[in-house]
Amino acid sequence: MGRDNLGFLEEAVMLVVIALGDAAYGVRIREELSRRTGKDYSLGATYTTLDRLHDKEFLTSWVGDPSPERGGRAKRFFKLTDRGRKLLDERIKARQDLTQGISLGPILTLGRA
Amino acid sequence: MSALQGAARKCIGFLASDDEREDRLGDLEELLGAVERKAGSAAARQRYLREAGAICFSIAQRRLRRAITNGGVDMARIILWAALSVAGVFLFLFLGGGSVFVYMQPFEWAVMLAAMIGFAAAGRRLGAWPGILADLRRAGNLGGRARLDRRAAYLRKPDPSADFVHLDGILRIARQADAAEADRRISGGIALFREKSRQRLRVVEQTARDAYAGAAIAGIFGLIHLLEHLDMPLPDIGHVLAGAVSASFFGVILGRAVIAPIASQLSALYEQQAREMEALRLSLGGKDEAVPVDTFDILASGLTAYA
Repeated sequence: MGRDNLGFLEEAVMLVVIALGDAAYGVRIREELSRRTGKDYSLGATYTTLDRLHDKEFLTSWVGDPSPERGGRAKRFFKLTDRGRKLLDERIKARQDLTQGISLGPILTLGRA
Repeated sequence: MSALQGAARKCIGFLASDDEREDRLGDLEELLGAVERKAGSAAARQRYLREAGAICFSIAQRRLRRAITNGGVDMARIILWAALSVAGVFLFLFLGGGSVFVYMQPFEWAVMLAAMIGFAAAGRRLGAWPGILADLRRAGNLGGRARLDRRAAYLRKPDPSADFVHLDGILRIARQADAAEADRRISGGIALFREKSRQRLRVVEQTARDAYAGAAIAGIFGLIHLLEHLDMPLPDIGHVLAGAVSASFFGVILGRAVIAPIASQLSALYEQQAREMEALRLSLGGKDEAVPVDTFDILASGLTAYA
């Protein structure tokens, strides 16, 4: 996959990171991602996607303070970079443009006919 | 904590970098607590092991991906790549049946040898090899656990090929000149560094193209050789045909698997260095005194390419 392309999971993770705001770290991202997509993603899959987005410079991260419920270990928080945000906006706009003026009703009912 | 959980933690501890270990194990602890409260300790233990396995797999997968992406950056890996590619060609020929020296005709060896000598001579003539080899050695030292320390040590060393652009040089300029003059001189130095980097990169890229050209020439010679022996029995023609393609194969392998990865890695290294210098220049702007601690924070934030 090219450096400026986004897969479904990557796009979903970016949206979740925006939704969580300042509380976007591994466990919370996985929970929110699983809740919003209705699919139980593992932490490993979430980290793989986060690492990939980080490598592509769509996400930036920083380490927070240690907390007792994590055995005194710190959290790594994520947020979108300007580049990531721009690309995500473009993707969302492209999808809106694509569906604009198309009546999806008959298409959705084709399977039932 | 069960022995299996302990083993899973050790596995993550072994595979992960220092930062990752803190983050991943913390997330696992938090998840363990949440599942334990919701579904009991047996379910939590099961979940812990499953997640730890997935984390180990994701780290291993990423390391493998980066090892492939960054392949060929240091001399040891370059030699290994070269040895493997030659061994691969020999294995290919051996599996085809018969001695490799039957397939590789002397003139094909001569063409490949000439290409390699030309490669070395061109680099020497352009005065690029000492710099390129130094860069490759330096790039090879960037990986590993203590990469930030090594990177910092490297930045403090004067670079013979780009005299001012490393940390000491930039800070010296910043101390000696006023802000506007320092900015002008540092910007000029960065532009010079970029130009020198481009020149070096061109040598390596040209070499990759030469390897492809060598492969094509060797292929043509091989075909001529084949046409000369069309009256031979069919099995012997097969041998000559294999000889015709083997040198081409070797040339393409040399270009694609050895030289092209070097070029791409050097390109990434030079870009990263230029970006660090820019970060340094920006961090110095408008300050009376240079503050190395600040600049290292800025540099550290950009050091993801070699993680």
